Amino acid sequence: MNKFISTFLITILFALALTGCRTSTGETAGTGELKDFVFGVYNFSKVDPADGYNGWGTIRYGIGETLFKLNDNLEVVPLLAKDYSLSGDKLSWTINLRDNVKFHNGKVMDGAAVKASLERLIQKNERAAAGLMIDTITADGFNVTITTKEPNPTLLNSLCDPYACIVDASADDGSVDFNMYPVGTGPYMVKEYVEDAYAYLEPFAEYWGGTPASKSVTIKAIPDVDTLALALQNGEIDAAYGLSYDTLDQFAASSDFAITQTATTRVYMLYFNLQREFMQDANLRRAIAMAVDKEAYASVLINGAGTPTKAAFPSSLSYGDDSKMTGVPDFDLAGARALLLANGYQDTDGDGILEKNGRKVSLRLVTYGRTGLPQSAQALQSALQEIGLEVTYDLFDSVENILRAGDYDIAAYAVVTTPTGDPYAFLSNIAGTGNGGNYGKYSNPEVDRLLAALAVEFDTQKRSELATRIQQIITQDSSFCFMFHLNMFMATKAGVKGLHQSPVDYYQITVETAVE
Amino acid sequence: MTLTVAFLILCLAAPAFMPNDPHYVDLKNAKLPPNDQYPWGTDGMGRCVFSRVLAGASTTVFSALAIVGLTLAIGSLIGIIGGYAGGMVDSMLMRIVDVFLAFPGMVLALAVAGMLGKGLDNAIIALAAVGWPQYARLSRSYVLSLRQENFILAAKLNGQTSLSILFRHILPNTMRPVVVTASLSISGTILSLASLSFLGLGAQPPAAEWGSMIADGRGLMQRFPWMVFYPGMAIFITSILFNLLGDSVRDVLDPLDSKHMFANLKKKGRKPA
Repeated sequence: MNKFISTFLITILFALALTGCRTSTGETAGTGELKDFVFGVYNFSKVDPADGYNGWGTIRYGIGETLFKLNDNLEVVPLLAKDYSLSGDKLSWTINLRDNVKFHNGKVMDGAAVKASLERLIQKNERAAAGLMIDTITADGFNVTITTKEPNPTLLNSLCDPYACIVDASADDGSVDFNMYPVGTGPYMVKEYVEDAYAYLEPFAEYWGGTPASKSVTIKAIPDVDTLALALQNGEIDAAYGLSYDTLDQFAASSDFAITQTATTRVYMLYFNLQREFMQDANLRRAIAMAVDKEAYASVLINGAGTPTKAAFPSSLSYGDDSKMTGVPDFDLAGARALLLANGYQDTDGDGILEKNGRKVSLRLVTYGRTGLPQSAQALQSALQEIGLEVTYDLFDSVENILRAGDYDIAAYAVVTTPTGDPYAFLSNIAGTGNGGNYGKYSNPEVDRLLAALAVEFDTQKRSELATRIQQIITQDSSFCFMFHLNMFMATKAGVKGLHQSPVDYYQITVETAVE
Repeated sequence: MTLTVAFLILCLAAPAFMPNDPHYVDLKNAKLPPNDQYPWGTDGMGRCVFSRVLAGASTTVFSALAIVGLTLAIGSLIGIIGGYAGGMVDSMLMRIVDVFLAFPGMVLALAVAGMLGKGLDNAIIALAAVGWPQYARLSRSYVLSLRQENFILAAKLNGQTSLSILFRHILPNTMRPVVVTASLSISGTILSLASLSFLGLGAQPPAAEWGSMIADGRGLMQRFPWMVFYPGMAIFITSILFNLLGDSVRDVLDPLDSKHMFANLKKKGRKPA
């Protein structure tokens, strides 16, 4: 018993010692003074934009900026650039830069610096090289001319991608770890970076877009979402990114906290494996699509943080107009069963499971662990069993291998559809014959023809029409089913302002970010 | 004892008491507090928590019994073989046991379950793989002392085969301590199994299992505590029940245990010798 008591006391002491370690931030600042801002994130990353996806961190933490950015309607607007012009042969883009932008080390960002930054990027990042298709870059004062190998209608979109943050390439000389201390142009610069722990950022006094509103910004790594929620609750951080959707209304209900939500382009969808015996029947696919209660999934399973959809893209985009998706069925369980019964599906042996041509309809539903997917899949399984289909459900850490092998009938999947504000890459990936993300083995010459046209079309209006037409074709016969778009949400202390929440999910800390 | 038997019968008969289908997803009725239709409320997907706890009872309890049975069988078999054979065979078997005992049980179970993949069957195999060495150790030590007993020597002189000596004389005599240990470890096994399910390595959704129910409800615990409370209580009460069972089994089978000897003798109204 004594042993027990002493263990207990030691545990208590240890817990007390740990709580004592909490750093107090911004509690002493008086009125009018600038305050420190602490931002808790679940996916803290390194910040060299040219390295993999680290550019997301560079932009999110307010360290770097791109030449162009996507506004909240995902249209390309100039940021470090002033304007641009495109040559008659559609190969040469001349970009006119702002002349008042400085790097964190005081150097002026001119054409030569942008050229060096982009050249460093395409040398280090294959994804960037493939997206930009740059042949040559020439610099002249505050002008940069980019020539592409072939006409690239999405060059400006690719320049919005976080990898295209402009950095002072000459500063990457090996004297510091550029992945922790990059020299960008953003409102904040890295003062101290501790791997997997935090980044302490100081305001950049010579920032071209105004005076940063916080005394400092600390980005704190809190990978466990429950810990993240508790950290916000007890005031350790001012804002949290990556919270579990289960905590949404907990913070929304309290006046001490504020919630910001934005529809993103991440779509929760169903792949149908068109090569499987039963899934080849469009009537069965349609019945499955009718069993998807999109409204309820969005409102209940992810706590209202979703917007039901029929299109692949959110309705804020011109090519994501739900009303144009004619022929996509609404949720109707009774209708789904009626459709099956009217098309040769019967339950002859009375076991509650329908048969087609004497074969019991048994389907394999697979998904992976991203928030909302397992729940959606389980709800769908239950609904499909109700209309008389036998469904086995398997949850995996990652499903790509199973999807590639084709060992499934239905897959619930979530994917960002327009990371850079353009529909081509996603549609081509999922519906182009033989493409990498075409896990349903969809193949339609008409769609392939439209995709080829979309790849080289420069006119925004026409791009939108082509993208809409492709989505109509692939959803009309229920070859794909798009369920809902995810809303990103951040919870902040009441009084936090200027923390951006953008549909593309990579603009966060801005020059105005501060806590009152 | 009676309690436990009643409980096991209850587990078997549980489906008859379920007010609702434990797997039926009803999103309109998600996150409801306990009410007439759903006595213990509903979970995040509108499934009846009461029905799911009942459905999980047989899964959890019978899986735990299966694990204990399996470990007991494997462990005591290896133990008596090692103990009776002695020499090289014995030391080889005991080194294997040492290797298994060297790892903390739960860590090893996690590794094995992780390697085999998710699923209740694999979780059972993993826990069985981790549990057997203690029975091997225990039964071996009893066999070592039994080997020198006169009745074994007599059996040998009678010309009985080793196999028949092992199973007719040695095994029955080692069973008592082994069964006592097994009955005491049932509750621990229930906890381990629930832990594996909580971590997503045990029972897979939509199957109802207490550990995975707690994992599902964890994020919602602050606002909808019943999703975690009831399965948690179920684990708690079941563990206590099996611990009590283990205690009474020990009292019955192990009257020579010094602590209980006096108690037993007193009960029978005799003075200690």
